[in-house]
Amino acid sequence: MSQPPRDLRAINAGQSVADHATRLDGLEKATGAARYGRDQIKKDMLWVRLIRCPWGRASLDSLDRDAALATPGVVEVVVSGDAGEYHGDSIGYVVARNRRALERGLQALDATWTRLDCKTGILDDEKARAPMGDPSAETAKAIDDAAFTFEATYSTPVQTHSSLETHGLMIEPDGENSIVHASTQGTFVVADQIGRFLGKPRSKIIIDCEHVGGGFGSKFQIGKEGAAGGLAAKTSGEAVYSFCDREEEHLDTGNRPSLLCKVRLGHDADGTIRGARFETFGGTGVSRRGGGARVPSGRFEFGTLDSPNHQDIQFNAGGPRAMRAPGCPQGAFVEELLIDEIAHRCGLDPLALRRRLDDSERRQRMYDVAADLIGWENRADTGSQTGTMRTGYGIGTCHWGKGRAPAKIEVVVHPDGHLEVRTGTQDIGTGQRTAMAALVAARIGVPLANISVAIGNSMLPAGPASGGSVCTPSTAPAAMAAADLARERILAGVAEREKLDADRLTIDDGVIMEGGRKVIRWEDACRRLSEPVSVTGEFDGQASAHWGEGSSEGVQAARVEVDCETGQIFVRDVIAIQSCGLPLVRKTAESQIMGGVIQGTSYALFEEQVLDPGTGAVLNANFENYKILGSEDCPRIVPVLWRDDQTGVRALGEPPVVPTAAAIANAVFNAIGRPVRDLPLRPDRVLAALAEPMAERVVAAAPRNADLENRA
Amino acid sequence: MNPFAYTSPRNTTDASALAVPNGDFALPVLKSGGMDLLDRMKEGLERPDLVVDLTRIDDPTLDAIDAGRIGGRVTLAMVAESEELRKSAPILGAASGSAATPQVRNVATVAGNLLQETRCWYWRMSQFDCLRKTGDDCPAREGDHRFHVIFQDGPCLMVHPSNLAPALFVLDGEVEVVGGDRTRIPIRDLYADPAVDWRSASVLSPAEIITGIRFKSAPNSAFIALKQKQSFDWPMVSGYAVLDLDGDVIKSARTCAGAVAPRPHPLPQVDAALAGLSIHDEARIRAACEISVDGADPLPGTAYKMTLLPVAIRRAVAAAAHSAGTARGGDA
Amino acid sequence: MNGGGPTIIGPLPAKTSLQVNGRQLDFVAEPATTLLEALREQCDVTGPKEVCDRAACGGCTVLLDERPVASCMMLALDATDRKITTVEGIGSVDAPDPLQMAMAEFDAMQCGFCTPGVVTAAKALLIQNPRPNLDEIRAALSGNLCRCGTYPNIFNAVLVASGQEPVEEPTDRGRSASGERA
Ligand SMILES: Cc1cc2nc3c(=O)[nH]c(=O)nc-3n(C[C@H](O)[C@H](O)[C@H](O)COP(=O)(O)OP(=O)(O)OC[C@H]3O[C@@H](n4cnc5c(N)ncnc54)[C@H](O)[C@@H]3O)c2cc1C
Ligand code: SF4
Ligand code: FES
Ligand code: FES
Repeated sequence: MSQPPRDLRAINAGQSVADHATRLDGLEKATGAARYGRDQIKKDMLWVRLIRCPWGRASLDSLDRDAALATPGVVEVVVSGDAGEYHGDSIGYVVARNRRALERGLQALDATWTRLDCKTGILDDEKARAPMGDPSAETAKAIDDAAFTFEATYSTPVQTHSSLETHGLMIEPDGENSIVHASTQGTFVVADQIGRFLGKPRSKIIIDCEHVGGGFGSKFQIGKEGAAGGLAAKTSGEAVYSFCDREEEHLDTGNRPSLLCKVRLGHDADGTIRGARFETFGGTGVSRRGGGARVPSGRFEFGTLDSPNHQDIQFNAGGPRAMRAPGCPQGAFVEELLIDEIAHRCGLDPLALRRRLDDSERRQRMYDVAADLIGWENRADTGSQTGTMRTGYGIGTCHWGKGRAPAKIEVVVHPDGHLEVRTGTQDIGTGQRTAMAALVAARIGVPLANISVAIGNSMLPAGPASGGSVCTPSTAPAAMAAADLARERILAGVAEREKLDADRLTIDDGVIMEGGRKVIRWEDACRRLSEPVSVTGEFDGQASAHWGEGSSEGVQAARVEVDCETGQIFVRDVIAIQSCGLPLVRKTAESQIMGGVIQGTSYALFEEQVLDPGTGAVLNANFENYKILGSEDCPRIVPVLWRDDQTGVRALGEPPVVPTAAAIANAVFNAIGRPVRDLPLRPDRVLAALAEPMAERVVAAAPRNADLENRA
Repeated sequence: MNPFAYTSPRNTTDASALAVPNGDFALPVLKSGGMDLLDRMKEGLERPDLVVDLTRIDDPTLDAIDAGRIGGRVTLAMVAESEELRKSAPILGAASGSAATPQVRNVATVAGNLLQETRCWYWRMSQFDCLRKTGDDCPAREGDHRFHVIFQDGPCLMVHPSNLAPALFVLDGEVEVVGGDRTRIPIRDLYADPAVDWRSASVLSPAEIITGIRFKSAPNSAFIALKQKQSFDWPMVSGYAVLDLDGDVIKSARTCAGAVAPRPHPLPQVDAALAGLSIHDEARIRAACEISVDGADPLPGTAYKMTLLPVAIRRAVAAAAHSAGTARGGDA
Repeated sequence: MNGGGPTIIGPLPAKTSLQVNGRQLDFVAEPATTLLEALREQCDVTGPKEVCDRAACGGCTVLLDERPVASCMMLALDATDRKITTVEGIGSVDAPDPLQMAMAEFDAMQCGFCTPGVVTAAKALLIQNPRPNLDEIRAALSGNLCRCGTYPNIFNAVLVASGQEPVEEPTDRGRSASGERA
């Protein structure tokens, strides 16, 4: 055998449809040739920016519209409100010939505001401060019957998506039509939403989002910036550029809501949980909904449950939007840390307790591999270390549903043998275009080099938005169907001409074979076509032949070091085992997993939106104080693609972000012997935890690593 | 940014003259790397009508590095990379190399670093007024002040932002200035007493330009930043130490704390307690560093810095003793 | 203009020239124009991205005489007599730099919005230090944020582009608990 390619993670060899395929637009991205919506800049376009409330709650006193309009370059000032309910709330917009004019117009507007009382977090609400409610009679009995009761409160912060390309769009008139270059994760959502503002029927609107600079759940709607852009384009008939700046992006384009979770449960000496009550409070800013958290997740046995008891709590801040696995990382943090706390109380290895409480057969096997790869046998008992630097090991889990949506994929076979895969859905960085190409190539039996992909345009066949991790699972069956149709068409032609049985023909690496005999090269077979052949594969969004078997489950294990003098946490290793049915492209699949782990690590350690308690102004709407993990904080990550014999393509975008913060919080608990129940795990919080007594134990510890010692 | 004119004088005399408000330009401002100035201009905190660019002045001494002097226009990156300084005063490279990002360090100058404005997040947001602007209150006091002082040396609770300034404190540094009637200012006099003047970034007059810094050589010197995040973050607390060693014995010490007070915060009581100790006497060095928090009056949100400060100082002392002066960040 | 003193430019728009990727680009802009704005809005050089606009993310990184700088925090007028290289000047799809090829090979991008800045900063590292080790790579890229989380692949790409082995995955388990990084 030849040398394995240098980019191969040996553990994932042979796990995917295309182990060696590289992202089709990789070079475009690495050379700056890829053009994003935000790069659609013309010298003569109009710039739009919203007029925003600078405080948590305020009423507008005055505003000098005339001065703004008198500013050179300002063309329009639209004021439609006189109060703001959060920092970043908008009351209109300004349109100008260039960005400096826009800034100066906003400045000249000189809006003055009266600040009003505001709420700045979940705990500003009495409901959240109230003592826990009584469990249902049944749960109360289960808790009482248990040997021990345990109560704790956990919290997580508001996290912002922080896509590097901000929200917005550029609208360009093109004869009758408008071309909308949008930064979106829903090509067809934009197409449906923008018309109302542009004053154009759907048929005259073309959406282009060939490249999108991240979304993570926040780009499913055109937003206020898009609406204002549409209106300005309608009024002016000119090209319009309406993108948020970084501050606006932090303030008003959604977030992962904060969570407060109170738990009361009863457990026995062996860690069995007899009954539990969970109360959750989601911090939804000014939104009435969207703060739900998946806790408990259903992965573990909690006995007689009194749940959900959820309330969304309003305060004066921008509302949430779906963010990569909405509700899940925060829920997993609570649930997994809770389990480790129970394990510690009972003197159990948390992995052993998980094995008992978790009935997923696949995760059971994943536990073994995760423990092996992280070196679980080196884990010291929780709280047993004394030095300055203490090492901790922790584990977290995830699972994901089987969401799906209708999708169409067109495949065009050209007479030169080249194949074009056409899909209107977008590639927000997940590798969608590469996955489709690799799947079609493998399914037909031609090299990937024969395939190109047209993607991210509303003139192409409709496909789903990138949400709920349904995009790849839903487009894959459509792509398989299209590939099969294309293959059959070409083989039928060959069979007819060569008088062969089409059913006996196969295609191997671009060569059509009958048994072991070469019949004709794919290119030469296609050359007989008088014109390109187009076929369309469809997935009905329900069951279809290509849906297959599979599920997304995962286990992650983290190793951290905690500096107990400073409270700093260094995440050293994360093992991330993930099943996603049939993995399509190894490299992009690994990237999804690593990206999830990195976002999860960043969430665990650094990220939180900070509101000024007095005024509700967001104090860190920037990348200086809204801290995101960088190169020197990045752990070593081992992404493990777990295939078993699954055949259907399943979710991969969201699940890997779920367990990471939980695994890290558990590792920190293991290292320092006290739980830190609030994210992010800031140094000040670690130091405060260290000043507390060691976490309580209600049952003496079982002899550590007993079987290990026996073996030795 | 508001409209402004731009000029690149070729000598400091012209630059000084241009920097003084006059009939043509009422709000001139000096710019070196612009890393701080542009930030403030973008936020609307600064609205100059003339930007006086100092990067094209024809004077090689502005870019020179010697064992005891650095030109004012030398970038933080050049300080961090200098072999000369690694020998004479490793603390300077360590402090410079830990500041900001590579992209910023390639542009940010020594002079600009010393004169940069506070990073107090209230101050940096144009919608807040405060004591340090035109107001009578400090919104940080009742607000979220996690990055603020533990030494309340004045009514403003900002911490001094410069990584470099405390290093110059322990090196007994001076700044060279032109444009006024003095040519040297001891670093300890560069910043106004925050109990008296809490609005000025320095005592310099508008015409005065920093052309260089001078300092004693100190091969046993070290800097430690304790950061929440290792890739680009402002220190939660930083520690600076210079040791004069006689064999293994500390003859004298100079320590200073960063990110805990409105100015770099020298710790003479620690210096006195360290004098005479063996560098191997960990217990007594620890005890000496514990008193670094003497006189501190932390805010509710900065209490954690009380734990961090003695650690930062102790680690800086340890690094200086073993002349590993370039310990980078707290990841040790 | 004023007498014999230095030339005063602006505040009105004035003719400005930049040397970008070996070409001279002329445009008219007021002094209150950043280098990034000049590149993107005047010169149609859109590889460098506007992300934070405050020198905190590296998305707008360009080389100024071979050193990486944040073009969002620099005035175009500050760069008029300097050699500016953007990601487009490092290589193209048809003639990519080995670093760009390694970035693609190792899937060192997802959405790709940080990628031009990352490539530019990494290229500057390789110019200065042709065989950087992992810690040097991490340090050189500490000013570049990637929200999608591609750092490990970037490290491998830079290692391979400099003729070194990528970080081996995945089973160097049992390393000492003192834990030097991967
Ligand atoms: C993302 C980011 C992170 C940062 N992190 C850190 C950090 O961790 N530690 C740290 O110390 N700094 C940090 N900084 C600040 C940075 O180091 C300073 O902004 C920089 O050093 C300022 O230098 P400059 O040459 O760009 O100054 P400029 O912005 O040009 O000037 C700053 C001020 O000094 C005045 N000035 C400049 N030169 C002279 C002179 N020769 N004589 C008189 N007055 C002059 C200017 O008028 C201006 O008021 C960070 C900055 C950014 C953007
Ligand atoms: S700490 Fe100082 S700069 Fe910050 S708000 Fe208070 S007075 Fe202003
Ligand atoms: S856009 Fe310039 S550094 Fe972020
Ligand atoms: S690839 Fe998306 S931000 Fe780096």
